[in-house]
Amino acid sequence: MQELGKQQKMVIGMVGLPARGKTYISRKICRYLNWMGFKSKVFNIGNYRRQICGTDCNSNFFDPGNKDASKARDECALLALNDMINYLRNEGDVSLYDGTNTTKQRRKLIMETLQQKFSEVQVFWVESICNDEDVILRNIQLTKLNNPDYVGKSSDEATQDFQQRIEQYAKVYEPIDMDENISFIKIIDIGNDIMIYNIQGFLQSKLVSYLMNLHIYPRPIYLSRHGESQYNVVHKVGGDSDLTQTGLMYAKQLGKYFIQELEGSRNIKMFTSTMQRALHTSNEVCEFLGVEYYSLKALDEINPGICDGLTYQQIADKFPQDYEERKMNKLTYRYPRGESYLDVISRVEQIIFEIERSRLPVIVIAHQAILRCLYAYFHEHEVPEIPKLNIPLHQVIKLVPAAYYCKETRIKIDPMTGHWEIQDEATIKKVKSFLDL
Amino acid sequence: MQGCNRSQKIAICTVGLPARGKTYISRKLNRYFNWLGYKSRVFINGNYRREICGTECNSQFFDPHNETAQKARSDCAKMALQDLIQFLKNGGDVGILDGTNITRERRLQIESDLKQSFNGIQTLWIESICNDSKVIQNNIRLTKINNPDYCNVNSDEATIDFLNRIKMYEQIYETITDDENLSYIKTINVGADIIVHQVYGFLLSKIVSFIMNLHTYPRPIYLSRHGESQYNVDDRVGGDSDLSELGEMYADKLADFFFKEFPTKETKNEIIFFTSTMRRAIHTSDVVASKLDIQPLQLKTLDEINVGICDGMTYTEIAQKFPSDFQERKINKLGYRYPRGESYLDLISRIEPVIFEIERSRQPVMIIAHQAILRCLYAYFHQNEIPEVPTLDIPLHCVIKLTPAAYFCDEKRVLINPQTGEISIKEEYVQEFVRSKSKQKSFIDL
Repeated sequence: MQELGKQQKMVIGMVGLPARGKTYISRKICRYLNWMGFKSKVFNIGNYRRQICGTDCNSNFFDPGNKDASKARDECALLALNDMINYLRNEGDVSLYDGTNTTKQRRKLIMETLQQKFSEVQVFWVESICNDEDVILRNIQLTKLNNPDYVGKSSDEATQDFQQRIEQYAKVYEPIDMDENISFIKIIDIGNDIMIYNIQGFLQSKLVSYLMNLHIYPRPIYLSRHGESQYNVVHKVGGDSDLTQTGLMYAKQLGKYFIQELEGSRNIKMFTSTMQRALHTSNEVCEFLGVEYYSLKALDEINPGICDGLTYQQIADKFPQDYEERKMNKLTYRYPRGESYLDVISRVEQIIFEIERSRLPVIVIAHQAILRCLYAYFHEHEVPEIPKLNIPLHQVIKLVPAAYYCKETRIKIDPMTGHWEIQDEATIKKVKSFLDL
Repeated sequence: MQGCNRSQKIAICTVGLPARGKTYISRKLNRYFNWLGYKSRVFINGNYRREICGTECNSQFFDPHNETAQKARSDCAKMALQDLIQFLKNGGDVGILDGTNITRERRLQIESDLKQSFNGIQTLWIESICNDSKVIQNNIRLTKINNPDYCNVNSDEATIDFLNRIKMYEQIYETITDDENLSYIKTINVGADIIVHQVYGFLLSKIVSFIMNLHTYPRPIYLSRHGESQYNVDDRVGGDSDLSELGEMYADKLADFFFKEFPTKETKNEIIFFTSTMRRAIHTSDVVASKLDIQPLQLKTLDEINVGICDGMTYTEIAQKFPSDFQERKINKLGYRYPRGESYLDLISRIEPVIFEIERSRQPVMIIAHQAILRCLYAYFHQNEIPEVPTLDIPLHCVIKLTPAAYFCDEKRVLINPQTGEISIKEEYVQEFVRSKSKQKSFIDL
């Protein structure tokens, strides 16, 4: 379906006071768009400001009366805008302009500059408004205090300065007005209220649906493959084989794991496929937990078409050309009468919406290719990496998506002994330099 | 995604002045829910009023100061709500109350009645606001003039009376405000502006997306199967066979037909053209594409139903090799899933994104696909019941042109002889209102 949106380039402009989740939203949108096959990138104006003006800027720098600072900030905004346009001209499909853009004048400047330099571009604005002091304070603590602007300052000092910075912006804040004649969505108090105006086209429509399902509840997502199946043992692909004894034992151990992990809670959502090995694994888990699962065909393993029931060796012998082709381009290669990874990504989109939407913990018991796609989405891997991601049998992957990163924990469960081995991935690794955001 | 969150009941109530598209929105939502597998029904206040108070009601009946009329209308509204509540109690999933509901008092009463009747019911209010007088005039013309209320009145008189009726309502109109504490969606000027307040949950977020994409542009949808394929000739199911000679001839004649339908370059470039990833569809589409100089989008979601282990067999062979499956499918063609394959229900779920895209489009849509897929698409737009889907007649070498409009869907079938190119046309206009004036019952059945 993504081809429908490819006809036009798009710029998404963020609007809102600091600590309103603009960067969080831009990153989520960027993730979703890249996932769908639209090359997207976020241009964070704050980063430009840090690079050019340095990071020693206290709240006075943001005083609208401070003429020199205002001029510098305007220049940074235009630099970011230019880079954004170049990106679209070269390889990008969508640019996200992540900045406060809180005045009508600034927004007008951006619209006019875009019209001049790049008239075929569609522009869409996302305004985040939040009046809940607790949420704002939590945002500041979670995301601002580790910010390079406050290196070497105590957390109280930093919070105070940041709140003053917000007040500077609030002095001149003009929320988007309908007479500005722009397409926008306003998200108020994390989706309590939403206003949508003048949405145009396939992509904007999909984005609005996506945004309506976002929230900031840090709920965990558990991904596990079915227990070992008959076909796994003989290295055959496809089929609808059942669990082996080992696989069945894993299913039981998995149930025990969840009982402990969820502390007996039944408030979870569980999804599985329609294939025997997944259903039987899920049945065991549900016996332990006392919950029901949703069995969805959309979670069925990738369809290997004519290669169904063959081993990789047999495929290499019988269909040497296809075997080579798949090795070279595992992402787009479509098994004859079957599917490609791209087809699976498309198929799995509805599940992603379901998981995004859910404020309860989610458990997905499915298959290797499917979980590669789901894992890649939440853990923010590039799409081309998907076919090689490591999703072994008898392992639970626990993902806890947070503001700017996704915490991952892998729990290896020995089907015989029930022994757990926990591997905590360094979450710091994903945050890297703040400037990379 | 059928099966998610079935346990919660949902009540949807419309709000708005007359001729703002409330019934249109109710019917579309009702169609969409039933399609997704939810038991849904619309309860129209106006119909109750017509049954009980009769249809000889001019605008004076709607005067808010007319006390007897007010009481009668209020009683009718209560009856509609009671029927909705009963429906939900007796296995219904979604009840849609289609009425003006323009006062706070009325809304709060309804909300309170609903919340008292059910533990944990989700309610959603949809207010349709329109300030564009052209749109309103058009609505009146299209849907009200043929309404039983005006069967003895000429169209000019009817319009004037109806505009007066609207003025009566305007006197007491109170738009929904946040302090009423309702979950609501306001759609303004046919979706140009949408406001969403406290709407949560799977179905509700689907509704917002759906409403965002609704429009009343009467654009045509052309459905055609690929030309006759080798497997068609051998009576086999599944496979990825190519066109037979006859099928290729059909592709040519189909291209000629579309060439005439879209005479100018502008109209050609507007077409939204989808096909599947199977040879027989691609080859048919390629011939059409090359004649019209447009490009089809190949969607795997439009591939024919997957017949699993029965792939490549004839129905006789299936009956012999898998007799119990064969029987099962005969009894329950809708739910029966081919082992390692799909069921019609799976198909319906699979094609939902395509349906969404078609709903959204304001330009002509052309789809060249397969029998089972087209049965589903046809059923959705032509408003057939889901159980009918597996037996709908979608023959080879026939273009079905559907033009969905406010309350009905026009259908035109163009049978094209692949050898001679001869065309024979069957047209069906289903205008439920324009029946004989005595047959008012058909209107109530809306």
